[in-house]
Amino acid sequence: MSTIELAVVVFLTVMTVISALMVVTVRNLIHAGFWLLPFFLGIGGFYLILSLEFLFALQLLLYAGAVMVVVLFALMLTRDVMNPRVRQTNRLYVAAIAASASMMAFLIVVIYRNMGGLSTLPPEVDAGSITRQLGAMLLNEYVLPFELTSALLLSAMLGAIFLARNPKVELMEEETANEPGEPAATLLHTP
Amino acid sequence: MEAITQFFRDYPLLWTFVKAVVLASFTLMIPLAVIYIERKVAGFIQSRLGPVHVGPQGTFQTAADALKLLLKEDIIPEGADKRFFYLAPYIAFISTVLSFMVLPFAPGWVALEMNVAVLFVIGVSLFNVVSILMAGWSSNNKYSLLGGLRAVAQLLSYEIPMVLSVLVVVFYTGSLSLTDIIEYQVKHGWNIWHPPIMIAALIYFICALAEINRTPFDLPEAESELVSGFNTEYSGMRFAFFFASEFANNFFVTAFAAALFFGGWDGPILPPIVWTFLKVFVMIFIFMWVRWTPPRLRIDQILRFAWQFLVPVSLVNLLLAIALGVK
Repeated sequence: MSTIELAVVVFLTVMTVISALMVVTVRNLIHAGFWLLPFFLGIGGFYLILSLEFLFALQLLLYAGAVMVVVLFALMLTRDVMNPRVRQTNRLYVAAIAASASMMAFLIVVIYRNMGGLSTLPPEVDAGSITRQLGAMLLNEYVLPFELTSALLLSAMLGAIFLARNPKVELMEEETANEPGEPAATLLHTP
Repeated sequence: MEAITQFFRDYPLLWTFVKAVVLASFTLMIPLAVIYIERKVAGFIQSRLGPVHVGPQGTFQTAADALKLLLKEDIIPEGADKRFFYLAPYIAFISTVLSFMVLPFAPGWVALEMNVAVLFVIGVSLFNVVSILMAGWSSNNKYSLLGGLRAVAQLLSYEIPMVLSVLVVVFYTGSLSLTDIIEYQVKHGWNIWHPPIMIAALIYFICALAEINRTPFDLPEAESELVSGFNTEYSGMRFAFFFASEFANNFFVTAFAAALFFGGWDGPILPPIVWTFLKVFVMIFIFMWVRWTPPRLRIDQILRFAWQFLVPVSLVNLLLAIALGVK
């Protein structure tokens, strides 16, 4: 590894760690959302150093682009989100810490066990063949975990929609629905 | 000449720097030409002259305007989120420069040969959305915020049919590299002659109009409703950067379309670089023609059109492309 590469790795590491810390500590939630951008770019930079250009492009497209914009969009439509006096944690923080810690421990164990394989990675890999291998593996060998992940994401989305539904809105709709010729009731077509 | 080539081969980092500077200057210069043409075309369509006073036929008008914008005061509104307000125009401009980075102008004339260029371009274009959202939110102005929110809803909706139509080309040529796609067309004829790609090109054209916020899709800055949308509070240099990136994007989406559908630099007699620019400017002219003809749509109409018409059509088109024999 040359000096320039080392400098780039150090820069990316510092950028990723600092922006990750900013995401969880900044008081203003919108700022936290924007701090996701350097974080995702840092992760993408690591893919680029490993010459995994395909993963880098996907990281840009899905995380730095789509996921971040959707997160920000949801934040901007949420009420009172820019008030710095709103508490950032809720009663579930103990459970959240436990979940993150167990995930961290799991990752450390997995990485530690596979440490031997990492050092034998060839420095120059053909990106085309890696992409082809990745696609073949996802749709043959690992098709079950792949589909399970999509089911998990779907259930998370359904859960979010269920939680976001405001029961008060439905109540208001029932009240106003009795008045004839009220256009507001027809606009809120909640089932 | 040989000495210069050898010098840059010895110092690749310096060569990268030179390429970056040239690309950034190109991205700043191309809007001058596009804006001048836009004014002249608009004048022609509306039966007036357009700029005539500065320089021959008003050619220096845009340069004079750019100079004026550079010298104007940089106003930051009270209560704006300063850091984000400063940053947003630069993110917009950088996203444009990054997409020019992988664009092949002629054989070998590409700043960075990337084998996933198509994906990279689509990913980078989303930074533009981020910058618009940033500008709209940090201005602390309800019109800016409305413009920003509209932009995000619109750009994200049209991104999906756009990606699906680009995917048809990728399936036909079997490569994500723009250079490979153009070389395939030099050998096998332009992509546009395949029926599924014809439909894909039409979908791409509509989505490209929406992606660069041109009428009838200019909801994010609808002058008659939102003052100027997300860039209402911007002045001077920062406004110029937003404007430059918008018009450079205009150039880019057409150059991208030329590479995907119309064979890029491919063409007889004239040198390749001339063909690229010829195709790009013909398409830019069509974009302007559309811009100055139909009126603006409503935001709900625009979103309904994307989700209920363009997305299903592009999905069916993708299946059609697969059925019609893709490698």
